[in-house]
Amino acid sequence: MEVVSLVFAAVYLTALAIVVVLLLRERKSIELHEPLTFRAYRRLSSTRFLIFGKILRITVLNLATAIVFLCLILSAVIAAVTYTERGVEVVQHLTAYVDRPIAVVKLAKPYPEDLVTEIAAQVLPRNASLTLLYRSLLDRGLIIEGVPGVKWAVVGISGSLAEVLNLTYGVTLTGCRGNYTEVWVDRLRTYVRCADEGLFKLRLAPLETLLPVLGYLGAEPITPSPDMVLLSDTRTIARVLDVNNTLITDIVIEGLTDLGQVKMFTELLEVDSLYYYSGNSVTVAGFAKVITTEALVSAVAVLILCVILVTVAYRSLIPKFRSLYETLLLQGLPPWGMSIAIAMHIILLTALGAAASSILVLNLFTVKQALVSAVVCLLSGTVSLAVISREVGTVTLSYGAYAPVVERHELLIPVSGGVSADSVANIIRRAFETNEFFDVEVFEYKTWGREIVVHCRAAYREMWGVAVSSFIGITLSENLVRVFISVDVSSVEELSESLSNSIKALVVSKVIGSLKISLR
Amino acid sequence: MLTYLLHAVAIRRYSIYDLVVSLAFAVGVDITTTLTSGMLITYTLLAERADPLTLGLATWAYGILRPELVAFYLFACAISAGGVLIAQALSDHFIEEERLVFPIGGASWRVIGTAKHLRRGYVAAALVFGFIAQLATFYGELSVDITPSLYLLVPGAAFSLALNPAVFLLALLLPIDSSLGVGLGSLLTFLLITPVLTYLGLLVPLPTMSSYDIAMAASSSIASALIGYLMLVATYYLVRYHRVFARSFSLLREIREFRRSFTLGIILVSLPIVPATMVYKDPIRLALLAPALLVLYVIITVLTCRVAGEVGIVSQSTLPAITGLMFAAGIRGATPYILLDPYTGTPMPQFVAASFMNLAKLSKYAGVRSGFIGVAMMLGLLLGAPITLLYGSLLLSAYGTNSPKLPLIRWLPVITWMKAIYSGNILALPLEPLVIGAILAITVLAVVKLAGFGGLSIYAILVGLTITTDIGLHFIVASLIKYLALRIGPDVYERVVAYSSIALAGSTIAVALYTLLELLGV
Repeated sequence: MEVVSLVFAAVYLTALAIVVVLLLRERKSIELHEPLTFRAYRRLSSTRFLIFGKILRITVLNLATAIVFLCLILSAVIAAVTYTERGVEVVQHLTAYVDRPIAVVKLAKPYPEDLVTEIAAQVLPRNASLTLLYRSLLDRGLIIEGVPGVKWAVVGISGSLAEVLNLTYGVTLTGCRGNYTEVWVDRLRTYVRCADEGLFKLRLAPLETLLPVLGYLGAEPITPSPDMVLLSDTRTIARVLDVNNTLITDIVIEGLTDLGQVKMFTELLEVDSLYYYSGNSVTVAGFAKVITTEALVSAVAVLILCVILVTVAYRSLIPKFRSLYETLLLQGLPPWGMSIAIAMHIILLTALGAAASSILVLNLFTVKQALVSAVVCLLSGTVSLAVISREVGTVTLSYGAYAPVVERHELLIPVSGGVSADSVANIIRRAFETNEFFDVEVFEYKTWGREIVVHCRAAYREMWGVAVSSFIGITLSENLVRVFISVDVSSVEELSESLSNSIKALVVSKVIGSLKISLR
Repeated sequence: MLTYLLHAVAIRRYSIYDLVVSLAFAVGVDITTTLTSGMLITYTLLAERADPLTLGLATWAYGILRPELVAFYLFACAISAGGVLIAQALSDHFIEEERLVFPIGGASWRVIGTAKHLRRGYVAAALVFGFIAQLATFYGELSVDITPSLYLLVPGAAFSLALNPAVFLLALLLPIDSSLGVGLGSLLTFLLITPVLTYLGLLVPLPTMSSYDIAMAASSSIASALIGYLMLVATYYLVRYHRVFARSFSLLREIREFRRSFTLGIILVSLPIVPATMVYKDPIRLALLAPALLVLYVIITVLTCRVAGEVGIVSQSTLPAITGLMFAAGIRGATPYILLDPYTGTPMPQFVAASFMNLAKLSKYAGVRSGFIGVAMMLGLLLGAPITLLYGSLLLSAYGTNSPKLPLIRWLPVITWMKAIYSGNILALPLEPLVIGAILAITVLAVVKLAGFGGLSIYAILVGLTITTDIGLHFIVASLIKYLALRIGPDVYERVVAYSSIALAGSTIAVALYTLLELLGV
């Protein structure tokens, strides 16, 4: 064994020894403090959903909602109907120079070789050199007895390149990493022979390798290593894979053809992508389509119209929401409840609209247009939501009623007779203990003559890990009680400012209320 | 969650202390799978596809089970355990001083606490839902990839939609601004950075490339961009908290427990330098690099803990910095990286440290001393190592690297990248993306600080930079749902978190079951 391994073993054993020592030492003192437990706060959150549900029910059944719904559906359908797309070509520059134009056509699915040869004969001029390829990655690797390596990729070649490479029927080439063998494989009915690795590194065109590509590292393609590949002519490959028809996946054309001629392939066969190498550049044509400018313009126009109409329709609905909201505010709905109700309303309508329009379009037109209609509906819904919540938001932020400043609050309470420090402290203690939103953890106070300082820490029941720490300073004089309250919220998660303010408000309002009432 | 269920259902009578300790042990064993069997398979593949001699790959890192191999992997786990000791010394700093949230640790405790009060029926329903949803995605893939159409408009951009229940449920556990940041980071990468890379000629997209293909092709540039972003974020973080750190480190010196733990941890973590200098052909260069490397180790450990604390996920995005340093210092050959680099190599004390921090937060809520928890986790690491190593080598011997059942052909791109790094090929870590990453970091910081958009977390964006858009969208949708839930009522929010953790446990069971069935050939 090397010295290094001894070092490794020594380190491991030392570490183990240290851990055991630590284990024995730490076992003595494990408990730190009481675990942070949960007090079950049984509050039916379902009531809130019920409230929102009822609001929705009241507001959904009216004319404005119907207008909004129709508007959403119509805009989506119009956008879908006017949707057209076009193919686009991209030109990339090459570092190499190509004298004779090379065209590589990649088919979307394997086609029979006879069909492809026939089509090629129709489309291309007679002096073009044609090569047909079948390239594929296997789902399950092939193991061949007598030949090292598992085969994961097959490449079949026929045409000009097959003649150049001298591929014969019944002989399959593979990479063997040095050791040369030639084996007859009965199961595949072919000879398997080891070939020179250079053969597999061939490039058909500047950006196109012979072997199928597994991925790219930056600009470099990653291909399987030669000992994973079986290379032969197309008919042998068909035999190896045990299929009846010889299949083709790619077509390579070298010679004086122009792009237009090659493009005719796309009309006769299903083509994935087309590469045309000529001179210093390559023109790439993919199968993907992109929306035409006219369709885009019409979609955007329809979207804007819809948003405008929806906003106007909601303007008439908002007073109704507002009256409901003000009634429910007394029930304990949070101040932002109205925006939530409106948001739910819009979301419901948008979802229904998207579903309805896409089903409608699906029945009349293609899947793609149905998708477009759904997207347009969702977009118009989202934009309307943003616009309306901005309008509504500014309305609900004003509380209207008396809202205590919650960070630091000073109060002067006139009293008739003498008030003792202890009684004031007790009032505050009761205020905290009877506050149903909080559980008191710590309550302490200290008096100096006519001044009291109270500190209370309470846990907010509704949320986990939220604690409120409040300091209350009270100065008693002849006929005045001066109160100073400062509240601080700490939580495990980040709370938004409005939520934190409302928690503080819960504390402050109870304390102030109790003091005001008890001291009169 | 699963450990809790095991205790609650099978072992009826248990104490909180039992639960947390067994959890720590289980996490320790779990981490060793990445360290041992994962790296064993990777290195064995690397040795097959590239000549070990030219690559400088030491023989004791790969191959069949034998004493040298076992010694190395046990060593690697022992070194990683050093991360726990470092984190223990710094745990007070993160939890008390910086007041980091450690969402996963907190969420675990929260679920354990609230699960008692939830109705059994609902808990079971959530479990089953998670289970079925995840299983469904295995048998019927649902995804839409519009990258080929995007190629025509903005070459290099990638965008796809997919449904992954496990990721979505995980995203529901994270704080709102963290998941938003993660989603934003992934959108930034694939809608902004990759087109810029294409424009600079570092990435050559093809019309038929899918979102995954673009991610793979850009992986080396993204690693570079990560390093650039990281350098800036680390500088900002250290500068901003330097006073807090100064205080914590002086506390380290004074409190005997922390001092001992930290020193022991540092010694353990720096030990790999010894065998590295023994084996490497240029020991002087390594010896000179050692102090810088050690300092970087500590910085990256701290940064990884910070990311875990704020974002929740213990991410490997912070680790390429060390690869970058070694690469820039001219270290070539695989062995020094195997010993010293947590990203491509085996010992990962930084990752372990951040995982421990989640446990430390959990133990704080549970009222259990984190010291013992750390020991339990280290025990899990040290004892789990031989077991998982055995499992990994069993897999290898049963299937071999050439097995038709285990399509290891998919690991080829990763192997190619590692080969490029070890042989010093600059293609593996190009320089321009470094600058792009740094510029991005500056922009984000400016937006957060100057524009006052405080809801954005720079660390979350760091994690998001390595994630594809289909997963990133899950995070964005999850943050929107949580935002809405919080607005409806805090208790609704609590329920969302609790039920999604339970459902997540269910989907994890589904993943385990599916892998088992696949291996058995069903």
